Amino acid sequence: MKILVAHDGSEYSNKALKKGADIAKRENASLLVVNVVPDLGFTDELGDDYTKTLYSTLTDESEKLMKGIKDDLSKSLQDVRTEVRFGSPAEIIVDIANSEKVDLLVVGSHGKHGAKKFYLGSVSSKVISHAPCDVLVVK
Amino acid sequence: MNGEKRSPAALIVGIILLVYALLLKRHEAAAIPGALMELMNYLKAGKTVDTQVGVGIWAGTIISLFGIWNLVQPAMKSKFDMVVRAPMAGAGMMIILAYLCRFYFEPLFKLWGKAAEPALGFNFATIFGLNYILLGVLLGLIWVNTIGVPKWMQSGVKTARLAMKMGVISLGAMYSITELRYLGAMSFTMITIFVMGTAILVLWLSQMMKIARPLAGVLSAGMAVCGVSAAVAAAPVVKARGIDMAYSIGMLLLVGVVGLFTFPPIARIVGMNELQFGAWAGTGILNSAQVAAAALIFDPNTIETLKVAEIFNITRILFLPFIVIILAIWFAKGEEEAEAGTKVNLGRIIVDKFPIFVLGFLIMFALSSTGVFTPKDHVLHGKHFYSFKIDEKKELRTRDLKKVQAFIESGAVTDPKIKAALEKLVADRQITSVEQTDLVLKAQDFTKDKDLKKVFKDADKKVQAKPKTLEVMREYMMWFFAFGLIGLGMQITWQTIRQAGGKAATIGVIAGITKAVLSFFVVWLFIKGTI
Repeated sequence: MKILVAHDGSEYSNKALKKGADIAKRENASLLVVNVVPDLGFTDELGDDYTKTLYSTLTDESEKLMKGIKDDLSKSLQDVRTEVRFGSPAEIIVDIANSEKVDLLVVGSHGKHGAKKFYLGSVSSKVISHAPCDVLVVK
Repeated sequence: MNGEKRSPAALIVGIILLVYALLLKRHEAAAIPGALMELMNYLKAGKTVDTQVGVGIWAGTIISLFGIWNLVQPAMKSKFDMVVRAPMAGAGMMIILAYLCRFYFEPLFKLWGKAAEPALGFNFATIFGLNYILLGVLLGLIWVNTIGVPKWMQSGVKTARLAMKMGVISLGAMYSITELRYLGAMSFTMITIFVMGTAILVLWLSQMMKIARPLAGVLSAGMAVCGVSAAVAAAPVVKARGIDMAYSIGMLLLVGVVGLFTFPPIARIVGMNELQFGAWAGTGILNSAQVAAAALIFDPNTIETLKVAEIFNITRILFLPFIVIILAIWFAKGEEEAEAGTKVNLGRIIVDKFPIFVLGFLIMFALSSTGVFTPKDHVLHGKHFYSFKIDEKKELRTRDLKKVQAFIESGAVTDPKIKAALEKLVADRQITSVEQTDLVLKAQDFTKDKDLKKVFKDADKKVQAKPKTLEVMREYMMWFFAFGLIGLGMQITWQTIRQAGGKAATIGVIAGITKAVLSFFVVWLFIKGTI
């Protein structure tokens, strides 16, 4: 069995991660945690250098976060992988669920507000309607 | 990525442009006008046919040729392929959109505005300024939030930024030294006050609302200087997180978009002139592209407003390094116990952050003041070019000259210089020097006779000249801007704006409104004249 958790660093995605890890432990499943650095769109006014600054900051933070999660979960789980991707969160998550033939997708119900809402919130609903597998929405 | 495949997109777009231009040309030339010409006449846009055909043929040809090339051999990763070949299709599509806005939508709304005027009591097309610039931004905005930008257009849309910069650079050729000095001094005073004021206001509000210092720093740079790029430029010195930048970008974009759509109608309702609106938009609106957009929405037919607004905008951009330094000092003070923040070197920051297009702008200005764009007998004086070569076409009518003569004899003018200038005008039948034209215009103050005032004005107007090169440059410049602003609309996605949230949004809205309102009153009270 293969479980995919979408993680954006918010409180809700932490809950989702915990739930996903619990199930993985119980089912002896492999766990994949994905963090998507969102494509923010408005990058033209920024120019190439500033766009680079923005995305490299976001990517560094995501990679650090994922590394922490991996180190932490490796203690109790055998098969844990993490991945940082760039693009539209919902699309990427569905893509990965497809290509990795995931059996269960775990997402948080919503983020807090503002930027965090952007990561999950509407992302959850998009994922639910497009995912190729069961989706667990953690509240 | 999208450029690596063989794509017929550019060829298709190029052919559409070419076919349209050639068809229009045929319909125009035919003794019995074809359907396209009838449509143009119905829209009262018959005058634009020459431009449409001209631009269509050359743009269509170039894009088609690149289209064939792209089809035969896919664009690879070389610099030239990425910068020139890959964007062709998208750029061509944006030219088509610009055509639609300028030659179809604007005339259409003009007609509708007039038709609806009796019912509404006002002309909505004039009040909302539904010109092609605004329609272009709106079209881009609606397009990106509904259909989305397809892959084959994406690299083309990205050239909008370059187009805007090219526009500003060519604008550099349109200033005279007097203008630049006058506007420069005015903008320097206003911008200093407002940049510092906003930065302090945002930092103070952030303290009141207990917002983390990195976010406060990024927001204050963005609100004070020039929007999203300032926010990201300041991020490293205040150790901002990615999410702080994302918040601020969303916020700044939202404030800017609201300003872009509200400033022009407000100014039109209260009756601001070009100088006032340019100063207001240049001070109160945040992002560079949005400043240009607002100025052109207010006044798309002359470039006077744009000229004022851009000077303000450039002055503000030049403040960026100083704000970065101030923020670095402010941030270091709060972090004394932590390790010392990024070391800041004023000289380096100024060099690093100096926008290259401003250099281009200054070079164009310098070139233009040496007179390379103008025929030898043209002199730039104030807003206009003058040519004082004796020419029958410039002569005043005898009837008018008699009026001037009578006016001199009436003794109403006491100033000997003005009197001499008027006497010379009567003798030569036209104005012959820069000093004389100023004096003749001044003579208006000595009479209440409207006809006579008009004679003086006409005398000035008759020696004004329109240098061909600059006129052509102006036309191209407007295309750069129209093109760039459709691209601007295409970057305003709901997705990005939605990132603004929480306390950052509150601060942004308060600071944005304060800045807009205060700068409005400062402009309204203190800036009276024209350029």
